[in-house]
Amino acid sequence: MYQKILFCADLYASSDYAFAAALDLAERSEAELIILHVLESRHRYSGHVITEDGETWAGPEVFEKLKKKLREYYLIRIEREDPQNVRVEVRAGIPWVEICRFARKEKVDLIVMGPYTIHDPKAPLDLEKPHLGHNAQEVSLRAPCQVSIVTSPKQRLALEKAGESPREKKRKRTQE
Amino acid sequence: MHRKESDTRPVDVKKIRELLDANNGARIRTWLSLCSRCGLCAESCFFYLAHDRNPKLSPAYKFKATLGELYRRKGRVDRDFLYRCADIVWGECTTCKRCSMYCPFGIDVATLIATTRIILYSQGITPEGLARAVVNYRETGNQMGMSSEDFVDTCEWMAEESRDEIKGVTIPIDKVGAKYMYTVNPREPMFYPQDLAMAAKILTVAEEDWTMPSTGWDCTNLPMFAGDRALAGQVVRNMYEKAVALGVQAILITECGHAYRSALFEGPYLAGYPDGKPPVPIVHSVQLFYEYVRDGRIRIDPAKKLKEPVTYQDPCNVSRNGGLWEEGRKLVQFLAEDFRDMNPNREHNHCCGGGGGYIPMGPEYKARRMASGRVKAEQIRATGAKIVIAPCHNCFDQVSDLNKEYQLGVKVMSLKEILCELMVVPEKFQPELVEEEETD
Amino acid sequence: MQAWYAFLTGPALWATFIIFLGGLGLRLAFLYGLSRERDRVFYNHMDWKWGLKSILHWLIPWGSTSMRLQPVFSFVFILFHVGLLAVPLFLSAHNILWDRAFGVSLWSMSDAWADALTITVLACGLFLFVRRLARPEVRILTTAWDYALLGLTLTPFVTGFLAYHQWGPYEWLMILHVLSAEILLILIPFTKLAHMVLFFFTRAFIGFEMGGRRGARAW
Repeated sequence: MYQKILFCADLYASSDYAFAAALDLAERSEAELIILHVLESRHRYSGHVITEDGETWAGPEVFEKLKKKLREYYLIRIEREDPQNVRVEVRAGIPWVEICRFARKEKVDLIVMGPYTIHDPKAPLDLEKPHLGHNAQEVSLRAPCQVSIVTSPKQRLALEKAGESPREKKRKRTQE
Repeated sequence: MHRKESDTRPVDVKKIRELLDANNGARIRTWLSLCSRCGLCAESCFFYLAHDRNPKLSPAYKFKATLGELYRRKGRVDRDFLYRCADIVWGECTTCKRCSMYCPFGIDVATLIATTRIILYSQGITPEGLARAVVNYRETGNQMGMSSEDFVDTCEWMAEESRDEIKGVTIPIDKVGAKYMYTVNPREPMFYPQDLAMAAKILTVAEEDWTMPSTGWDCTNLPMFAGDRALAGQVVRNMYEKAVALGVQAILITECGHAYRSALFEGPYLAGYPDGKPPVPIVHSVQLFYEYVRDGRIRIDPAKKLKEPVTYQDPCNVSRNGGLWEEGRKLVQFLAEDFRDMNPNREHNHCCGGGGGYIPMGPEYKARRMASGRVKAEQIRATGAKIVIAPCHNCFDQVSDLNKEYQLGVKVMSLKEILCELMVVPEKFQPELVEEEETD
Repeated sequence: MQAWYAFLTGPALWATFIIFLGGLGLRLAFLYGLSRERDRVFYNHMDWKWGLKSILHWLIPWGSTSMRLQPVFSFVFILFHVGLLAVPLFLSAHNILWDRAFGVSLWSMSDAWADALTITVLACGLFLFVRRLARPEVRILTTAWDYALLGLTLTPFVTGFLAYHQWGPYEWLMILHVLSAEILLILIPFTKLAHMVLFFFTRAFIGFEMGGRRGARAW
């Protein structure tokens, strides 16, 4: 089915459901899962990015640091000890622009993302009413492939009814 | 700029003296000698005004403390002095040329500052952001270090996207004998390629004969601001030579300020054209877009005209130093119902604080940029506008920042994006509807 | 005393005018030579209409935006220059001397006018002096030399005025008058005072550069 699935990570809980869905899909399709995070640039044109260390140039050190953080955050949620088909990538710029550019270049089949990102992690999650954020909007309109916006765990894949997921099968096997 | 502890290189006094000598022509000699210290220039400078009229920020003080001192001491200075100069000529001046309109002698302070930058550069001193850009220009011919393949690919991508809205949009690459060779600021393909798409849409609807070159497409010139005069000349030559090779009638410059200044005014001198004229005429987007709308090649849907109050940011290098302030305003009259001019305006408008290399200089200069931008922020606030039209990437970013810093409550827009929103797409350019599959 | 006076109004005066006119001429020639090589931008974009407008707007009171921002100062410095040029050229006493020496002279103003203009020059000079002290952006730029030149410029006027009215030691005043005027004239070609000629060139340039090339009004 899918060969390359692109998950747009924002490092906050708002996209965790989307990650679960992307992972699930990648395993069923035996697709490559790419975890992409885009460091947001402050301006349209200048290329200075906002990191937790403040506003800075998007240089290799910044990217490496971020990749490490992404691996820590996401790879632990994957049950397999040494995930073969998972790749972590980092870009800098305007998120929706970079996501579309990446998807086009890598010929991705499906983009999975959360509906919006939280700009202030200290604020409680439910104060943000569900809405479609700017990046989600632009990506769904402009992406070269299908886009799946996952907002809650209730949004399961219809395929599930058709049969057990590989994970379910494996769990049953180990239980025996 | 604080002195880098690691920088223990000796000062190359001989090199400084060579440069001082080479630049000691009639103008610089006369300006340095004639300044009668009358102080009229002070009030013209936004740095001076924004910092509570600190007398050390008057243009006369700035050039006397830097180039004046260098000549007086015949180049025998130490590195501390050079770093102090650098702090002034990059941190306290954007070479906006407003002061030369307020000086009784018409002293061109911007030229004196630029000369100082060249001397400092020769000693290895320039702001980090500009140094990075210079490396990119040298290696790839453009400030973002983008390869030709990536660039052409981005153009194709944008053309594809545009065809969803306007039929038949292409970005013709290297078309020989076209009327216009379009050149862009590499920040567009790098960070906001939609600018390329918008330009392509406008040029398509206007049925223009144009092309995008695969090399020499960068019209910006950061080496000019970094003080690398030789590279600045090379950068301009790349563009000129490509235009001549393609046999185009003119070079079209995107909505960028200093690119126009570089291509039309300073470039010919940097690139070594003794008569001061570029080999190919230069046209700026502001002028061309105005002509399209004026002549009806692009029609504006009257129902879509901007209803909120609008003001026009005069980019120094498009308005005062480019001569296009009326064209910009006349174009805005077609686009907006409620236009409110800033005060002062036209060629006397203030610099926003983002030019002269300031924005590319990087985050470490942000605080100063915000402080000196207070003058521009107050100007915008006083107009009561909700939309600021800024046909220059640095003004765009700077005003966006000022908007957050001073809570101006404005939206910044470029002319391209407004034109794309407001223009009437003629029947023949309407995209074809996808044939619906019949379902039973 | 007579010997000093005769020297100052004889050979010294000749030398002064030679240095003054010759010096200015040499400076201009030197700058011209330099400019052909290094200031091509001056020649490439000449536009006399703009050059003239650039000059004229700064010769009339409040002709430029900058002057209108400091209206009192700009009026004073124009008045100062008017008197500075008018009195030495059109003073009847000077013209009598020219007539006696060479048989030619310019038109002369009445002594009452000359007095009034001299007082004006002195008052303006005082204003300029105080301004240099009072305004921080001017004070920070002003050097001892600026004060000295201002003082030197006013000295012929003070001494001339006092001598004419015969207030004080006449002969000393006359010697000081001629001497200070001669020093001033000799200094003109070598200092910022050369702006009396160079003003027109720098203004023409900025007129070409901003006006001719861009249509921007540098005033």
